[in-house]
Amino acid sequence: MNEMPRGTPTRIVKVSVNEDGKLTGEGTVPNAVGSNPVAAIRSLEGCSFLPYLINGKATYYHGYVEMWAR
Amino acid sequence: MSKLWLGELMLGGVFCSISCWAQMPGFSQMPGEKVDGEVALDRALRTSSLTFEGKPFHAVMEIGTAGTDYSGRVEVWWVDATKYRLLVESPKFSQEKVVNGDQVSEEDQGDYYPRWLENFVLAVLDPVPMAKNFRGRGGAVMLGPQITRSCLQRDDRPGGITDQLTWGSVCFSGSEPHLSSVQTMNVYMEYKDWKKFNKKQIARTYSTDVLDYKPVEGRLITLEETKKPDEAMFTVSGMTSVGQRISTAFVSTLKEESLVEQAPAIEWPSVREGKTEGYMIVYARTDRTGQVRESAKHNSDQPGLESFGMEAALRYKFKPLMVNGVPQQMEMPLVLHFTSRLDDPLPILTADQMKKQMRDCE
Repeated sequence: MNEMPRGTPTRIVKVSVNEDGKLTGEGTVPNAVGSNPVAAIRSLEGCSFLPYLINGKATYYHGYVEMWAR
Repeated sequence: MSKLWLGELMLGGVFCSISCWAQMPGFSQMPGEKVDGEVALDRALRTSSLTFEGKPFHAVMEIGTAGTDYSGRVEVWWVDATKYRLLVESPKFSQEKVVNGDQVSEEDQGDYYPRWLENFVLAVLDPVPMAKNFRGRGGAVMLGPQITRSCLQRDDRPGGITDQLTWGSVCFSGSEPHLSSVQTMNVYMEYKDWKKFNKKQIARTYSTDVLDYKPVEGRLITLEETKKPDEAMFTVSGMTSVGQRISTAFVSTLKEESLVEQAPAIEWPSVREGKTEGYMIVYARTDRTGQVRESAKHNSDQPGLESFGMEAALRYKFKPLMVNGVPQQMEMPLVLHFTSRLDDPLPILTADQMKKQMRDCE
């Protein structure tokens, strides 16, 4: 879970993460609540991700991240 | 070779960098002037091209890491467009060429002149080889000391399909301006580290890419004015006929399709997401027999299949392209139709699952 600047509405961001846990892409979800997609994406900078394992093998994956203001 | 310049902004048919935001309402004003596109192009060539209104020079460029496939050396002694000597060296192709008026001698080692190597030669001798495509078309760019990227763009789409023969962009930096990059279907070069040379500002670092956008860098290690050119350097001892010289023609998809001699049967692998049927465009370049020798990614409906398509392109064989009875190398936008299937789809984690995957987000 990640936090955005105070007062920023909640938003859901879709991310893509490679086998090494590196963030390879992010985008906002259409019609999701919130109005500041640039702030939402920027606030993911600096995050790190764990590799996602299927049967012990790391795989590329997508996921939804919730963002909210403190 | 295709690049999506993220952060760029469409502005009346002209691409402009993030710094051009300064020209927009809501941003503080940044010094800049709106300049006619053709005027900007000429100013950039006057500033950044050694051969546009240039004086005699001697230049040496070293390319890549010695011993690797994409490495080499280019050396040029240039007096004017009709008098120069060129030495090109790489692991698989070398050329010694002397041009003196209508006399030309050319000695080639190797049967195929690769694109990446020619890009570096063009960077010295003709940095905007498709300049004519941008002339007489109107348009303007914003130039200024703090404007780091402002581009002329051409994107003809007859029938809704991009004309790859004319598609391209030329980007400028600064107020003079410098030429910062040139990109077309078949040419890509970035220019950096400009240093003064006579009244010009000449880049010392050059970067193109190969295969799946892997960068290859060239460094201009020698650049000196030639006060008194040695005429003996430009003596053509034995003429090389046009038929014995290597040249390359950029052909349309229509032309390429008419010359296909052998199209490989492609068994497309499965994909984990996205389109399972569609098209991709691969840059392909043949030798003079019509065999594809070099390919690179360009654009695809399915990025996951691009590498496979790039490899498959190397198995294409065309009839030789004959120009005035002489076979030429060809380069082209090779269109491939793919049909695949979805297999082992990528997992999509819920917000709760993602909480366990994320670290260090403070």
